[in-house]
Amino acid sequence: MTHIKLQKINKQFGNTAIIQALDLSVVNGEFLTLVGPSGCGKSTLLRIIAGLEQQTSGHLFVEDVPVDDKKPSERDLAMVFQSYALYPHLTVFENIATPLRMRLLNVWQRLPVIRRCIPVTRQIDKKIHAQVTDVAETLGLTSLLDRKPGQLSGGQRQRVAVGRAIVRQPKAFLFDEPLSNLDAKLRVHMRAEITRLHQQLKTTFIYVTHDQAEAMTMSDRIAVMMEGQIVQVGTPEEVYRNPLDIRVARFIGSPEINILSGNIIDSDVIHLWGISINVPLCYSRQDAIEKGSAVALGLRAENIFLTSKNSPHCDVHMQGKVILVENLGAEVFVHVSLQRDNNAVIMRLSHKEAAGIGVDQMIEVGFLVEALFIFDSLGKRIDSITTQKKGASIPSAEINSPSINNIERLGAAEIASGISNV
Amino acid sequence: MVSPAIVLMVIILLIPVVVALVFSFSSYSLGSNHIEWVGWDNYQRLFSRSTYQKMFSATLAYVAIVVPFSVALGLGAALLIHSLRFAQDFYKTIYFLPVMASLLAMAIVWEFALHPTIGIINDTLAYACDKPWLYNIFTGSWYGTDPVTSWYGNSCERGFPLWLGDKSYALWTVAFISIWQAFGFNMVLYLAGLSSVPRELYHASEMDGVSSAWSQFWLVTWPMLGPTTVFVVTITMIRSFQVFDTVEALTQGGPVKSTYVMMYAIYEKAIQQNLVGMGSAITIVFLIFVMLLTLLQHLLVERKVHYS
Repeated sequence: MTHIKLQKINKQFGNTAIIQALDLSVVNGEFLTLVGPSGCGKSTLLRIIAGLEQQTSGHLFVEDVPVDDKKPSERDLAMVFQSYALYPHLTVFENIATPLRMRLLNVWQRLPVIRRCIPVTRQIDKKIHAQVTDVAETLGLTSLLDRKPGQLSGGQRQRVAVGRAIVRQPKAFLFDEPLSNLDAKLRVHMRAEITRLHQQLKTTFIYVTHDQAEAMTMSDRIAVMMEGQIVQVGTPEEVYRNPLDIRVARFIGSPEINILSGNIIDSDVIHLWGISINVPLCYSRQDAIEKGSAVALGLRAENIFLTSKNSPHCDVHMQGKVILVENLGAEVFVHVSLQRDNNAVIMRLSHKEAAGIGVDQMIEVGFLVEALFIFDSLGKRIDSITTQKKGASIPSAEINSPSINNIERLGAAEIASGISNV
Repeated sequence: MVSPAIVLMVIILLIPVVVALVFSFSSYSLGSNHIEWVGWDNYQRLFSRSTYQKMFSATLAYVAIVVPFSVALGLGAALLIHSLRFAQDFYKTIYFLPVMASLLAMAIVWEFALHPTIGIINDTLAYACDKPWLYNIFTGSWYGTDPVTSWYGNSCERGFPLWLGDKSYALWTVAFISIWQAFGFNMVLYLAGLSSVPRELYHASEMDGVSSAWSQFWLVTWPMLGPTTVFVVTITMIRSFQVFDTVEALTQGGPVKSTYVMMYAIYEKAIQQNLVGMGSAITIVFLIFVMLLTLLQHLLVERKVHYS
């Protein structure tokens, strides 16, 4: 069931288009992450959903009800800000109680002296007190209720901000890079906390981050945003193993994917540094099959193997010189210059495999053709995406990518043979 | 080796206070070559004579009028200007011009404007006297009262008040001129304070359910303006205790000592009448007043103010 739906959202600041014709459907109860590099418009999109910014055109629906005209306070969403935005003059208790006080008490019941004269106020106060202490217990804030935000650490402040969002039991939670201001260790800890919270509350979470690791570990689905458009939406598994755009392949995964440059020399044959590789290709545009047109080959670091040691049978073998060895303890990143490209490729080896490898050493590496992602000159994926080959499913229907739409139209038989008449 | 700051402070601040204290127990006059000690006489006079009682009441009344109004107007103007999308600078200039202008020159202009017969204020007020529908509005005869008994009707018959010559109006008039002159300064201070309120707090308050401007002001703006308000109130209070120019130019402490503020009293006694002893006594009492008020404000207000 679609919980929150964005339809053709456009946002312009003056003459600059920040968000262009964006469509997105958020399923009820899911953890959706909007991930992308800085400046891609994800925070702006989140604020549009919250109602803090008004979109230039397009519609927004929450539970099938259009909310374009509604103020943020009427949309029944809660937001956790990057800077937490806690009220510095109120205690932790009062901070968490504020959403309830704003909604349950009217203006007179909130004034300091007059409120005692209104009889109902006390009951509502008790109710608020019970709810706030409940939430504080869930988040482990009970001992901090009398402190002001200035007396708390970063992690504690973040929990108060989350508490303030939870206490109202809204329809959905919006998180705007909440872990950015925390140190690395705390970030890893809070990732698990937020995931646990989502499992407990079972409410829709829309989470914005520029950290792909957060997106991969926490989400049910990831929406990768680049330059104001959603490039791919899918589960972390799909986005990692089946990127539809070179920008998605580059953004997701650490270390960054290795990109090699090749040419198409015939239909289904790619030329990479003198080696011919047979790869079934699917095209959506006529010029993609022109002979000689450049393609980019993406290869993840864990899919390059040392062929001299215990490696599986590889399709392609190459020689290269080690230029850098990064030891992370459990695994080692080896940077190898293959002497044909300007960039070195990065290999991910286990501690045992990398034993004895030093800088300036010549080693033999290899990879399997089926591990390659082929992207055309515009960055769109053109090798076939079948379940047997890559272990990924065809992504859901919310994608805007034209190549995927065409592949669906082609039909299974044509995909298998890799020939297109487009 | 005593630090230079302490030396300067002692010379410029502390020694003059001690000298004034010493003189307050005498009946010294500038130019005389001997001092006559009178003990507590000066202070006794200060707290028993009706002139000095009027002095205290005039000063306190003046401060009680000027401080709240100029702080509130400054805050109101700042909030309004802050919410404008264009022409902000235009309004800031208009409201700040009185602050920049020479107070004495402005006081003289106001004196002309407030003149009972040829002044523009009374002229403008009298405009509606012979226009029946306006006359009815201002006198309140539209809800049934006899027009002549209302203030406006009465003034139309007998002439509009002598703003600076009538003892029930003079202090209010002088206070009005000071408020007019001072609130622009407070407005500028508040504008600075408003721009330091983090914008995300407003967004957070919107998400929390704040829908009206009043709620937003009470929850976010006012608490964050705490430090600014403390500063503005302190400055305004000190400046209003030091009022002298307007009184000297317009009313000379009159009529009937209704605007006989302490600063003017010090000037009159010590300089004009050459009673340095009496003048020093008033100075010491003035000093104690200001110290007490500052202390009171510090105890009552500063505790509650949040400094982030």
